Amino acid sequence: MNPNMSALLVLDDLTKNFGGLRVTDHVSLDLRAGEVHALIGPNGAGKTTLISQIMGELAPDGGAILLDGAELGTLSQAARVKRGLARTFQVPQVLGEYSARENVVAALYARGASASEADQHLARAAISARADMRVSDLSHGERKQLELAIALATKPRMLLLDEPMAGLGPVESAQMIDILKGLRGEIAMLLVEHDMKAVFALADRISVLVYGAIIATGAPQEIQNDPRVREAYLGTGED
Amino acid sequence: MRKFLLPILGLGLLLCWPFLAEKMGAPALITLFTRMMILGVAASALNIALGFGGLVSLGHAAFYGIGAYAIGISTTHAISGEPFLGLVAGSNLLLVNMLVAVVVSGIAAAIIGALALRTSGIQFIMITLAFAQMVFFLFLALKAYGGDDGLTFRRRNSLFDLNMRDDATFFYVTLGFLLVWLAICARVLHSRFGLLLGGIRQNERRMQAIGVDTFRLKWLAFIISGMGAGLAGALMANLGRFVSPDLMHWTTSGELLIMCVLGGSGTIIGPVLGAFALIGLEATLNTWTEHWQAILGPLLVLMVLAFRGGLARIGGRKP
Repeated sequence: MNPNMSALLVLDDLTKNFGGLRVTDHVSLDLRAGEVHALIGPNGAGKTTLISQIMGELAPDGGAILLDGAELGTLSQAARVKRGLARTFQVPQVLGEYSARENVVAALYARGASASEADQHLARAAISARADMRVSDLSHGERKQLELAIALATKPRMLLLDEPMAGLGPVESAQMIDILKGLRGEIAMLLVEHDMKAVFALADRISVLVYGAIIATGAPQEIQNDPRVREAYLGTGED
Repeated sequence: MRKFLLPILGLGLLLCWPFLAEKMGAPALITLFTRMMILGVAASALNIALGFGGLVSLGHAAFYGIGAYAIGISTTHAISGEPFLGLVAGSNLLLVNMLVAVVVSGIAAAIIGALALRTSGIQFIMITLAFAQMVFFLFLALKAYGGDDGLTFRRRNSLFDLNMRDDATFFYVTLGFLLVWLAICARVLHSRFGLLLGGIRQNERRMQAIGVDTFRLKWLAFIISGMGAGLAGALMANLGRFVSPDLMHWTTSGELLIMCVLGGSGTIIGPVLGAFALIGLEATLNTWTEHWQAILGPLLVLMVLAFRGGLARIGGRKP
């Protein structure tokens, strides 16, 4: 990956407090076009809160979020999606009464596109075989894939993936990794994930978030060898 | 074809109803069924907000009453010859007055919705109820238009050369409006807007995450819903040639909710079935005992428990 790639999304000194608890502590990150940037850290480190701030679901208390150099400020979630941001959720958020295809069609309608595009997004997320099934009848893994198809239907430039491997078995995880590999280079991804196998298979760069603060950013090998990261998150391997 | 069988039979029965009622020597049944159809329009209107959009409103009596008063006020001014507020002449033409009723109800729904939709859940229910009660008390205090005595006008609004005094004629006019309204509801449900609105009802967070301005869509649904309730109010005012603040009492909103739940919210035909069932039961029990409400309450509970999903979903049907 070319380190001089232009930054698509920049987080500049972002802070967020929940009462007296600082959940985002002066976070600065640059996420480059086409890059897979993994964000790892222990539970409660503030990874999902960071995604919610980028999407405009939560307002940061300080700092700025810039997309293509323009500050997002108080832009609504709808406006951010139109500018190319999309997210998935740790617990899949899908429309249970609709079929998988209708879920994708809803995303297409939301951006004024035709329903005929739905099949291509279902295919990219490898969920075409379940297109006409009611979503409430899909398995957890299939819902995760469907969420990805829904996000792709919004035509994102930056995809914020909140633990896409959570709750998946080894086979489903391998399939999800393959699906995400197919998107590399085309769509930038911020990958929040605990599954280190997936992180090291996909990430171009990794940032480590601990107690709301970034303690290290670098290439996977650098992060793996960073003693601060090993101490705070990855472990020393001596236990 | 089976899917259309019951609606076609129902429509056939309605088309014959005035003749049947005359044959049975019970012409009052024509007016009763007209009332059922009008409340069917009102319940279907609420259903756009409730069944399609998941917005439990206890304020639709306000839009229903505003539609009725639009007819009453316009007709009164047409008869007296005095312009409304010294500016606008009244009218006795049904289509003109209906348009006024629908537009005024829509404006009221736009204002109330813009404020109420900033809340959700129990707060939304309470705020819509509060607004409806404000409108109720406003018309109660409006002595210029009858206050709590209401407004009476001698003749129904005119439509082409039809004899609107004739209850059977008005029955068919109402049936026409009901069919047009149901066609609009079906169009809404099966449109892009309907798909997105259904999505908001199921999972608003998901819809926001795909870039849907959920507030705007819910607001539009609330306005269309209010306009439909206004249409029903306008028909009811013409049926009885009388309007009063009682039309906007909160119990009217409650009855419309019961009709939706009983018939099947989220279906096209369900709220109409609910209106026929509720008004039919009321009318029947009323002839047996003056304590009919004591029987109606438990009966409704039993019906809702027996027909989960509403009358329209009996046998898995979803018309």
